[in-house]
Amino acid sequence: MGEMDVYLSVFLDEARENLQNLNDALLGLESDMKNLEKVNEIFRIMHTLKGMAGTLGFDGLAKLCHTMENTFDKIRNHQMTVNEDIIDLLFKGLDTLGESLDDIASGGNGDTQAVKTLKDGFESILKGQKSEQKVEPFKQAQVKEEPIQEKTVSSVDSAFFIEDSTKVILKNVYDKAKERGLNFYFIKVTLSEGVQLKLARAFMIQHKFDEMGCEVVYSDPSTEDIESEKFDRELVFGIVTSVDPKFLAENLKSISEVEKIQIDDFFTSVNKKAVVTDDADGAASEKHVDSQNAELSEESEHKDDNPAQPTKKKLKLSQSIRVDINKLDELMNLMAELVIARSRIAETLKKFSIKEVDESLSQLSRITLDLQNVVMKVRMVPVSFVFNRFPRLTRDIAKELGKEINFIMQGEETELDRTVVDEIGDPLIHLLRNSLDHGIESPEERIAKGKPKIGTIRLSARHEGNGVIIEIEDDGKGMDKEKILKKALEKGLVDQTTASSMKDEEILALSFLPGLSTKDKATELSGRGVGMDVVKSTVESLKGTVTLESEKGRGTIVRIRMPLTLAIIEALLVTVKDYVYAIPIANIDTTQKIADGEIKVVQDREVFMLRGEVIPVIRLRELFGYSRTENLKQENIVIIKVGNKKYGVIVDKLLGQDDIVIKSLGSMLSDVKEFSGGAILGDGRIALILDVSSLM
Amino acid sequence: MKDVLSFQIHNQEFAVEVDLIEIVSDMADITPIPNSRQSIKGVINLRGRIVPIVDITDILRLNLPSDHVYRNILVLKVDEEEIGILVDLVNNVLSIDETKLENLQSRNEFYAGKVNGVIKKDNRLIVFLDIRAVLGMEE
Amino acid sequence: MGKRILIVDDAAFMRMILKDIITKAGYELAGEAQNGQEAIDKYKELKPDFVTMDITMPVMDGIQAIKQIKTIDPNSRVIVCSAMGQQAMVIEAIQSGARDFIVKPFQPNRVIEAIQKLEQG
Repeated sequence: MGEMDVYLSVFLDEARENLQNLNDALLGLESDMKNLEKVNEIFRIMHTLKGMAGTLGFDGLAKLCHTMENTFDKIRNHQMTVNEDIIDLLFKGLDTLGESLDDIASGGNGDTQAVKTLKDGFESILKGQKSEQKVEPFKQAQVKEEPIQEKTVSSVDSAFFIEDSTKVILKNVYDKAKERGLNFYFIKVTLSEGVQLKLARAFMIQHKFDEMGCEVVYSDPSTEDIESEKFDRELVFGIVTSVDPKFLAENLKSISEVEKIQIDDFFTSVNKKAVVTDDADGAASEKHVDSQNAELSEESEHKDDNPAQPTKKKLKLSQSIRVDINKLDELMNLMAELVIARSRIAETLKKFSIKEVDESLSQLSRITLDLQNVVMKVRMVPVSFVFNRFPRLTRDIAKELGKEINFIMQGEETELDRTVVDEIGDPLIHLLRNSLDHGIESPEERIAKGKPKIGTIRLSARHEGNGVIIEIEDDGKGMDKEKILKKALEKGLVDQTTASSMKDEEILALSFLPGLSTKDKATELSGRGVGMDVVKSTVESLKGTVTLESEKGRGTIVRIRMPLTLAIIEALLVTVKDYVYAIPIANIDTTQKIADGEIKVVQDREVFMLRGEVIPVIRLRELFGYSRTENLKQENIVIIKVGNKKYGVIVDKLLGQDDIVIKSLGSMLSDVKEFSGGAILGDGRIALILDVSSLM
Repeated sequence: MKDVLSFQIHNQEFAVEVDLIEIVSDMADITPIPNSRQSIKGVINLRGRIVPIVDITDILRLNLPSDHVYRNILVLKVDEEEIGILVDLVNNVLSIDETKLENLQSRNEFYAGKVNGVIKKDNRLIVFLDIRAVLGMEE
Repeated sequence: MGKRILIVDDAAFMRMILKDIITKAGYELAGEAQNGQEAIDKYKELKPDFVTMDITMPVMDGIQAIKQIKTIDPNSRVIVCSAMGQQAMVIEAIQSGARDFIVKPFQPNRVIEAIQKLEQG
C-alpha cells in the first residue's frame, strides 16, 4: 500500500465518522433549533472535514465544507437563524458529502455535480443573510487626517514611499519621539511568496512590535487596508522605539514567512532627495497616522466579539485503532491452533503424570481460555454502529408518509459481533419501515382514536442470557389477527382445521411466511415482496430468532434475539458413525431417547409424537449414506426447531455441549447444503456443523 | 520460463505451477463430508484451518489399484483458498519453457481443457495440469 | 536528538499528516492529543519542546488550551494550526500566546519553517 493510500483510507474512515457525528448533531439541531451546542459541534465537524479534504486536494469537497462551515459560523454568531430550509439543505449536504466520499473511495476526486450545486445553495443562503462581522485586530487609535489637498508621492530610495503631506505629520511624531529620547524607524517587511492568512501574519508582526516595546505610529497600507487584506507582500511600518534596529530586524526575521526586513531611520529617509510625481487622478490612498503616539492605551486592545465558548459536553473518547476484520479472523485461527496444541501437549504429558508440569499446564489452559475470550471481545462492536443511521432514516420516512413520530433508541452501547452488526441493519430498516408505514397511524387518525398525536417507536438493545435482544416497539395500530388468518386461508398457507386451533402467537407468526402482507394496498415502502419472510430468514441465517407480539389498536413489538457472536457458538456435539457433528444449541428444542417403537411411518415418512405434536424424523446415518445401526432398543433423538417448525434427527451418540469456533468449509464445498461450516475440536478433530434449516 | 513442481500419483507424473503451492504435508486424518462430490475426500485440519482434500484421479478418471494408499497432501492456495490434493510423492521443481510443451490429444475426455501440455524431461513425461480447470475454479 | 513535538488535533488524519511531516524532518513525536483538555494533560506529562495546536476541537478548543498551557509554562512554544478563513481565530490564538501559525492544508516546508523559526527564537 502506498503512502497516499494509507492517507486515503484513514481519511475516508475518519471523514465517514465525522459524517455520522454530523448526522447525529443535525438530528439534535432539528429537534431544538436554538441549540447552540449543536451548532458549535456542526461547525467544528465541517471545519475538520474541510481541513482533511483540503489536505488531500479534494478541493470541491473542501469548498462545500467551507461554505457549510461559514453558514454555521454565522449561525453561532447570531447573524443567521436556523430554519427548516437550512436543516433540509444540511441533510442534503450530508448525503452529498457521503456521495462525494464514495466517489473518492472509488477513485474519483469527490467533486460531484451535487457538490457544486449544493455549494451554490449554501452560498445563496449566505448571501441572503449578509453578515456584518468584521475583524479588527489592530490596536491603534485612529485619527482621521484632514483631507489632503496636494497629492504628491515621494520616493525615498526604492524602499519607502511616503506622501509629503504625511511626512509633515510624521515629522511631528518624530520630533516628539526625539524629545522623549526615542527613535523613529521605518521598517519595510516583505512577506514570502504564497503567504497564507496575510492578515494574521501582519498581526504577528504587530504583535512582535508590541512585545519589543515598539509603538506603531504609521503603516502603509493603512490599518483598514491591512484588515481587509488589501496588500500584497510588502508592509511598511513607522515605529517609535528605544530598541536597537539590529535587535528589531533579528526579531522580525524570526517570524515565519517573513522574507526580508529593511530598516531606515525616519530622519535619513525623509531627507533623502525625493522624486516627486503628480498624482493626477487623486486616488492616492489615505494613510493612517497616529499623532498621539505616546498615549496609546492598553485598553484600546479590542476584539470583534467573544470567542466561541467551547461546549463543555464530555465526550467519552476511547483510544482505538482500526483493524482489518481479516486480521481478527487470522488471530482467531491462531487462537484455535494454540488451543489444540495445548491439548496435544496435555494428552502427551498425561502418560508421565509429572506434578510440576500439571500445574504449568493448567495455568496454560487458563491463559489460553482468557486469551480466547479477549480475542472474541475484540470482534465486538456496539450496535450503535448500525443504530446511528436510524434517527435520520425514520425522520425521512415519517416525513414522506406525513406521520409524526418520537423515535427513541436505547442500549446503543450493547455489543455484538461485527459480522452480526453488519448484517442486522437491513432487517431492522425493514422493521422500522413497517412500523412507520403500517404501525403508526396518521396524526388525524391517532387523535380520532384518542391516542397521542405523535406516535412512538422504540428501538432497543440489551443483553439477555448468552445473546442480545433487539426490540422494535411501536404504539401504532397493531396487527389484525383475523385479517392475517383470513389471508393465510385464502392463500392456502394454512388449512381450516389448523387455523381454528392456532394460538395468537402462531397466527402472528404467519406474517413471516412468504407472500403474506396484511396491508391492503402495498405502498412503495413495504411492498415489492421484500417482507417479513426476508427479515426472518436473514435473522435466522445469523443464528438468531424473531418473534412478534401485537395487540390490535395498541401496537406491536418485534423481538429479535441474536447470539453475541457468529464466530463462536454453543453447540451440541453428536456422533454419526465415527465422526463428530455439531448442532447449534440455539436451534435445539430438546434431546431425548426414544424407543424404536415410538417411531411410526406416516405417508412414507418417519414421525414420532412429542407432547401431542407430530414430529418428522431424519436419520443422519441415512441422510449421510451410511448403513443403519443394527436395531437398537433406544435411539438418541435431537429435536430441532427452526422458526415454528420442529423435526427430530437421530444420531448415534450425544457427546455433550461445547463452544465451537465456526470456520468456513470453502467454496469447493459450498454445494453441500447440509453443513454450514466446520469447527476444530479440542483434540484436533473436525466437527461439521449441521445447517438445521436445510434439513427440513 | 516457468517453475513447476512435479508429483507422482500411481504411475503418472503430474506438475503444477510452483506459485500455487503452499505446503506439502504428510497424510492427515481426513474427515469425510457426506453428500459432497465424489472427488472431494473430505477435510483436514491444517494448523487450525479447515482445508478440503481432493483426489484428482476422480476428476481425471484415472484408475488406481484397490490397494493404493496416498502418502502426501499437496496444499495449494488458489485465489486465497487452500485446497489439498492427494499425492503419492512430490518429486522436484522444474524450470520449463511453456512454448515447448507437447500437446497430446487425450483419449480421455475428462482431461479436456485441464492440461497445459506435456513436459518432456529426460525420459520422463509429465502432465502439466491447469489446476484451476481441474478443480473447477476458473474465473 | 530531535526536538519533541506534541501534536494536537481532533482528526486522526490530520495528526497522521503532521506526524509524517515532522518525523521526516528529524523531529520526534512527543505525543498526540485530540482535544484541548488532553493537550494540557499531555503537555504537563510530556513537556514537549513544541506543540502544534488545532483550533477547532471538541471538549476544549485550541485557544483555551493555549491560554492554559501558557499559564503552566510561559515559555511554551505553541504553533497554532488553522484553516483558511479562520484568520480571526488565529489572531486570537496569537494574542493568547501562540508563537506562530500554520495553515491547512499543510505544506511541509511551512510546518518545518515554523518549527525552525521557533527553535532559533
